[in-house]
Amino acid sequence: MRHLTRPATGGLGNALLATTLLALLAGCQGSSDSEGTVTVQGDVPLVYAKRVNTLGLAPTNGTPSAAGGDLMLREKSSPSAPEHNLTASITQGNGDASDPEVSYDGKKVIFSLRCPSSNTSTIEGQPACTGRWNLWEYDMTVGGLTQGTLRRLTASTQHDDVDPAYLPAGRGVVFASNRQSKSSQNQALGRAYFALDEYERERVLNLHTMAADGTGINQITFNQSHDRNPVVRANGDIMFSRWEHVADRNRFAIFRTKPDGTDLFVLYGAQSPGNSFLHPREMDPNGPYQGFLSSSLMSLSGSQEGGALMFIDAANYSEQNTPANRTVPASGGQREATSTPLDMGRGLAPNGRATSPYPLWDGTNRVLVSWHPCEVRRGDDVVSCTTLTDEELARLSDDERTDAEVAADTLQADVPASYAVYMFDPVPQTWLIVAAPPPGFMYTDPIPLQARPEPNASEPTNVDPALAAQDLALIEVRSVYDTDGLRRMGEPMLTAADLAPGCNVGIATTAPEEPGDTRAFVADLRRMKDPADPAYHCAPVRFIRAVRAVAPPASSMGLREVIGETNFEQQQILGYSAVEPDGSFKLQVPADVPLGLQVVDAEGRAFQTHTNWIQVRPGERRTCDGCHSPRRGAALNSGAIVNQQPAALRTALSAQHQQGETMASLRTRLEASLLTLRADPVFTDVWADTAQAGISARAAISLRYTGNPDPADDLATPAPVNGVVNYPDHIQPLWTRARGPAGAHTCVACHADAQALDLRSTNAGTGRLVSYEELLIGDPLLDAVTGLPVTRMRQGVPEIQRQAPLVETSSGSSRTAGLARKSRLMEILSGQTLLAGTGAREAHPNPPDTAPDHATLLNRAEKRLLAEWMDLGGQYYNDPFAPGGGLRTVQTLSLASFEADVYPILRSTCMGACHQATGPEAGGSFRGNRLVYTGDAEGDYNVTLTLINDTCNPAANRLLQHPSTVPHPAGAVGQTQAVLPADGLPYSTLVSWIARGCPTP
Amino acid sequence: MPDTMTRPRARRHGAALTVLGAALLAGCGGGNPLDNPPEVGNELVTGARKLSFAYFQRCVMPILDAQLPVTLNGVTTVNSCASAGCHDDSTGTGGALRVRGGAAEVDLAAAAGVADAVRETDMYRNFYSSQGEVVFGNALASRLIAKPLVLNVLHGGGIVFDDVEDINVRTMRYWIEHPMPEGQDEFSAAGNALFTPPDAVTGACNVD
Repeated sequence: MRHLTRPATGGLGNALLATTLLALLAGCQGSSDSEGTVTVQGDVPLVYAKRVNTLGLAPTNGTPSAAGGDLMLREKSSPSAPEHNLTASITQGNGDASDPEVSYDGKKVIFSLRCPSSNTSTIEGQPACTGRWNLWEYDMTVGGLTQGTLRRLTASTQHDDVDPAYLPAGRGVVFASNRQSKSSQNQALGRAYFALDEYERERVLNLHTMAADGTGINQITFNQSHDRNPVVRANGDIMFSRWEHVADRNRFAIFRTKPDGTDLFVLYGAQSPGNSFLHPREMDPNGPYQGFLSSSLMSLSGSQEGGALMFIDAANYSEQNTPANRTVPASGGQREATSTPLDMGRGLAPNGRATSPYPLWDGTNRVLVSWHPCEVRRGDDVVSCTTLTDEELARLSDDERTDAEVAADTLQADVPASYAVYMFDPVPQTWLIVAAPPPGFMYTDPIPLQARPEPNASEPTNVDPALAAQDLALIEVRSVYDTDGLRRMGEPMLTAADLAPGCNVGIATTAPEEPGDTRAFVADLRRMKDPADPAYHCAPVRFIRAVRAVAPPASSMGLREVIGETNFEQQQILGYSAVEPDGSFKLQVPADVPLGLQVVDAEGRAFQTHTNWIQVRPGERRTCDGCHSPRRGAALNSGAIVNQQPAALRTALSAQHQQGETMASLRTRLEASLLTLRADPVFTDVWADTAQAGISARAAISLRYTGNPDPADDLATPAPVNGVVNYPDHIQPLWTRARGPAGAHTCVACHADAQALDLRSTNAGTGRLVSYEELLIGDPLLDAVTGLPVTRMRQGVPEIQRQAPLVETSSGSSRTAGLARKSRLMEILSGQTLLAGTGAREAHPNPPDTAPDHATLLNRAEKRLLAEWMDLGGQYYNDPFAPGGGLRTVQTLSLASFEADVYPILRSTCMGACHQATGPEAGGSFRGNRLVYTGDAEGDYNVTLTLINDTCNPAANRLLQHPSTVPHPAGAVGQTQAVLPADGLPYSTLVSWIARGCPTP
Repeated sequence: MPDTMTRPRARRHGAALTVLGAALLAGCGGGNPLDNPPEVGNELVTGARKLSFAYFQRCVMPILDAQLPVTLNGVTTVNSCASAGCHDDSTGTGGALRVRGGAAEVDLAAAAGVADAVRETDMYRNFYSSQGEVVFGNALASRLIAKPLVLNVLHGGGIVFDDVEDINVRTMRYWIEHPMPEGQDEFSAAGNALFTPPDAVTGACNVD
């Protein structure tokens, strides 16, 4: 159960009521100054979006729309000031509007508008509506507030453009769009298609820029889930909210980039309390909030895109309690702007929710913000949460109630959020209502029509033209051992098995030399790069593995079956490069693609799961201090440290060292071919001068698939092509390969027991190989007394509890270690104790002494391949279009028929507590990516398709199989009737709809 | 560090400041286009300003080329911004700042009227890249200064300057805080005012 919070009866509650009344009394002047209420200095005109309040807003929903929305203008920030509908002539009551942003001179408003192509409205002699979200501009240069001119800037009939913001110096507009203007033509494996987000729901929104007249559209970000809410910072950077969703990592953090897409990096919120930071904006740089951001903070779903109103000291903190320097307190970073906490989780919000805050820069430090109070439905009446008894409040706050319990309650927390616009003053904590919506609507995205200083106009970054011509970029990491307080590339990620003989630790440490360093100790790079020092031989990192995301294709069916039992989406290995003794590496990578970099040990196993996507623009040359390094401060591998050249290094190299060069920088300057990613992890020590007495080299490593010095280390089974590992093609053959005398040690010779471990290449009922599901899905935990499966409630859903699987696919924030290193299968097959944990070891104990030595059953290439497959996420196929995968193109099923026939059933049957989007803070659910509904029809349509493989045999599809089977969910106890009984009308409706997709019915 | 290369003379030049001050004021707007009440103060500053190429060439580029000693915990090492491991345009990976060390000085008198030719020179490339690391109106927020001082930002090259009083920092700051008048390019004669006497060829670099 969540922490119980009573609605504010003083503080926020009274203030709201009082200031609301006062504001109403104040009339159109909007000014009052009594009893502690705020004086409305600079009573500004404003625009905002009027939208129907049942709209499915959520961070995950990039382009929701519903008929009835418009862009509104209010002449003064007062509830009684005249209000004007700016877009009624275009929308004709059938459209929607959102995301207004004002120009720096205050004379233009750019915004998003969507209206059906059946509308009769025109613009410049052409039909005004395209059926998609387009960018529009309202120009008040001539005509003033109410007699301005509308202009359509984009007019796509296939793509959605939203969230526009003006670039300074007349350089155009930045906006979010699912055009994917470059990435759709440059997907992995040379394919071209539109990508869905990592829930496989909506076409991904990435940031694009364009000229002021709508020409020259250019994609500048390449994330795999939405990039939203771009604004321009005073320094010229674009700041935006990025959905980071790699497996269990699932949140929105605040990012920044230059307007050309270079130097993209997280600014705040990747590791801080709360889930989704949306609507970030800079606060007044001339007041007490200099360097602060305002933001809303909420859960991924269930909050109608509202939550707490946050003030973030981004200048001095890179995360909560992570200071950028030693001059500020160790504690700090973010705080709620309201003295009464608002709810940043899902469900009941006793003190209401805030969304789309806009801090004013007029010296008052006020914030225009949309807020709605907490209301519930008692029978047929909507009542304030202040009327709830303690018991009622506790009941409604209990998020462990089942759907049935919720449905049976006379109290329902399902009242749509009718956001109104308020002026919030953070010092006296006063609220003044500015605009209240009519029944059935909400007002969001309030923007004051004020001029403000134009941001710095950043010039494009100097790029390397030769690299740019090849669509490549350069990345250097100065030391992977330069890691932050979480020590994600530090000793906690190592085990005794990683220590070379004679080593007590893998990574030597010392006090930081740089006085401003906020860490107590850091890696001792001086020792680690000295072959005369034992630390040289103890360092565990040997390779870097570069991977790229393989995006979920839009307009396809059956994708979930192809991906498999993992929260990871598909990935491709691009190649390897050596990590030098000082922890540096430098390599060329493809530009404008989502990249991951995995630090790998001598066996080819990643120390870390890379849970976000890096991008570099064509020709960009990018340096990182380290891996998960402190995001502010000096690089560890710099200054005197980087310039130190130990005497035990080969002078052929060290004598050529130039100032500031890391070991990787020096090597690649001398041998440029080393910048190119290699297909195989192969290492030879070129640094240690073994001609000197007592100096030895680190052992050579060869982890080639084939062509190793010892042929016994080669793969005898098919090797992956183009870095794509598919379980049926590459992993299953390992289990069936004949091993040992007369094949006695062949895996399937022993592991053919469905009750224990079955690695045979037989087909499971799901259509996948049985061995895959045996490895990926842990057996149910059984109650010792009853013998029944153990279940627990999680957010109202009974979940069956399982043993740890042999192959781990969790990337939760507390378990970010590499997947192979925390998989019990790898421990058994390497004979090492790594990071699988005691639960996995108890579930899967070591083989008996009578069994062959499992640590020697697979050779080095086979273990490398297995580690690669696990580290990528244990997918069934990593190529969505693999011939055996069964992916289908959608041909005859349509969104329109889905909305008409299917959606109502799914809404009532599946979209309660079960198939919802949750971040890791909610504990997640078993394989939580498989089917997530968020209330946006288009996304919900797409994700539904992922569970449909065979339209000619509707009943065989998971969409129908699972809910028509008892129990569903698997952890349900005492269930006698299926959620979707096969003899019911809803079931047959779904059958009919699926069958429409069959080409030969 | 060699004084001749990195210690521009710090004489104040009143006339230059007057001119530049007027220019800066001219760049500010003000008022309220929609007749908001007067207490709403939103001064307008237009972007896309240019900094002085002449001052960069004479006063800032020598800093990027200089052998800069850095002492931490009693250990001194010497680095140059333009070095191979840092911002060298050919091999360095130091982010957006690209420097071609030892770039030949451009004779602006001889190049008069041929700005496009100047823009093809290595010196100009250095100028362009350095200017790209500048936030107009906020010198300390400019990466050109914030990075080597490690002012709440990352710097792969570590700390280079001790504090904002370092003569090199003051020089770069002066350059950033004295942009060319709005509407004029980086070769504007207004750049002369950044020297004492006000001559981009013979004058000394102003700093304060």
